[in-house]
Amino acid sequence: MSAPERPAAEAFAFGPFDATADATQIAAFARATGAAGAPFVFPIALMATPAARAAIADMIGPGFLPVHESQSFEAEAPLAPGVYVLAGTARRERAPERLTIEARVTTPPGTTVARLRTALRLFPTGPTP
Amino acid sequence: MIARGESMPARTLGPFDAAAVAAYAAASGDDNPLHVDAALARAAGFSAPPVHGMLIMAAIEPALAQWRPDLRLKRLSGTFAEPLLVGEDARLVARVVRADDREALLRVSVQGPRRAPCFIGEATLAPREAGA
Repeated sequence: MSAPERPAAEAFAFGPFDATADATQIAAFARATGAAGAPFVFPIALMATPAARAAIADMIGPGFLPVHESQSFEAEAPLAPGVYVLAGTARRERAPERLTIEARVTTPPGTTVARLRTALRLFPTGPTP
Repeated sequence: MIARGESMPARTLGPFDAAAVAAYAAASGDDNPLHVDAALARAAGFSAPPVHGMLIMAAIEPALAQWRPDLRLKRLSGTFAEPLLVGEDARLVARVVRADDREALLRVSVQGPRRAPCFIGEATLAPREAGA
């Protein structure tokens, strides 16, 4: 019996996820990158919150090594320590294997602080399941 | 504000040693072992672990701020091409390709020791608000 055919591309909702920009983490990120104050690219760290990571892993699926292909950031307001909401859309392509996420970082009332777009090329680590 | 054709003096980024990469991994939550495990990197065909592309991208903001402290970064985008390996440094160049009173668009590239750039992209700078 053959495996069900996968669509060439699938769209997903990404989030919403609560994401805390902790002052200690912002300071560590700034030290690691040489930035003064909250680093412009700090929103990438919000993508590593457990719920976002789990969603990303689920969209990638088993048997792939993700490699960061491209990235964009747009700042709309200064990012200060606090709780934010990370939400957007994702697209999973199969030829080539890629996951693209477009997300907004907003305050809980809904003011946009930053926008980001992340593209991951996905390299099979073994036989495709 | 800034004129088309102006260039930021070239800057050296790094070298990024294993401790710098580990510090970024811890601070960012990007714990992909490929960046910190030399044996795994060798098994993947690298002579040393590749530096996180985001660590290279993150280094652009301080360089631009040091060049033009009167301007702030508004947008930054780009593609990660050739990996930069732990222990290597890279050369950052940026040139203004479009500018008006509100913002300036710069082409940015980070060139490592190999032929292809590590990062190629664009940055948009805008005047920093008074007191910011």
